[in-house]
Amino acid sequence: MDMGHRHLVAAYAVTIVIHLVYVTYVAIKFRAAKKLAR
Amino acid sequence: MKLWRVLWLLVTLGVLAQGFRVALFVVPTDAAQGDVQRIFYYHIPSWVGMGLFFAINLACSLLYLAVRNRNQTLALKADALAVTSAEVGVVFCLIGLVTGSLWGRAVWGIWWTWDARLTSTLVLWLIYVAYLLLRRFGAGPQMRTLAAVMAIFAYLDVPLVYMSTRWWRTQHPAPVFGGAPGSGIDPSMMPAVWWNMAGWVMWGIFVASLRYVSEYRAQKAEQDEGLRLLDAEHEIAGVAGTVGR
Repeated sequence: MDMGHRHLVAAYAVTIVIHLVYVTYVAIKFRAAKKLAR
Repeated sequence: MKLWRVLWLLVTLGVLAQGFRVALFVVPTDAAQGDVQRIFYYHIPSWVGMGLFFAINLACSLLYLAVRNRNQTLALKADALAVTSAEVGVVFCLIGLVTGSLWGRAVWGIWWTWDARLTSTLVLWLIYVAYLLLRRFGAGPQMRTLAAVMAIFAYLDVPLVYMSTRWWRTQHPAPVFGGAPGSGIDPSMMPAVWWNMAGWVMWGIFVASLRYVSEYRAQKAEQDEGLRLLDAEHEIAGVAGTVGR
């Protein structure tokens, strides 16, 4: 795999990973808020 | 999770899957850059998402400043949405910076250059990170007012980022939207941009809707606790006054 392809894969992977990390943080906060409301 | 949110998530994942397919397997390969140009299909939607959520942050901050002394409930909602949109905007901005850097290394041969577009974008990201730090480590209504004012100043950098490639000579490619005739990418490649733009903006709205719930509840609890303490203080002061007499 040449550099262009490596960077293409890395860019897509980084985008998905950053969004997944953030949505995990948001989901944890959301569950905590739901528990607190109960 | 509410039904509308589940349905929204399912449609979003479908649009994102279609965007991924169109970006990698449907639209033609760029003749000059090759496959690395396909980074644009995740890079451009990140900037659109960032612009949208920072604009929401500005609108909510202005609304908070306008109603904070008249309508506490609306002010609290606006403030919670301001924090939420700033967070989502920062995530999109970070992705834009990282994907841009990965593209730059493959095409320009460098990870970073201090040209007007890249520098103003980095400054924008840092300003909103500072805004979120203020929100995280500050407390009380003064902090909310200060943060709302800061959000207005922060947003001033958004048009600067957008116009930077027009106002100054930069290494950054010509704008895809609103550029000179012939600038941007070929119309045959636009479906990949549209699908991914729709998908990532929908994803941002989904995440923001979840984040808003927890932020609003936390702020409401903080406000209720403050009012409870104030009541208790008044009660103690009242009892002390009675005993003193």
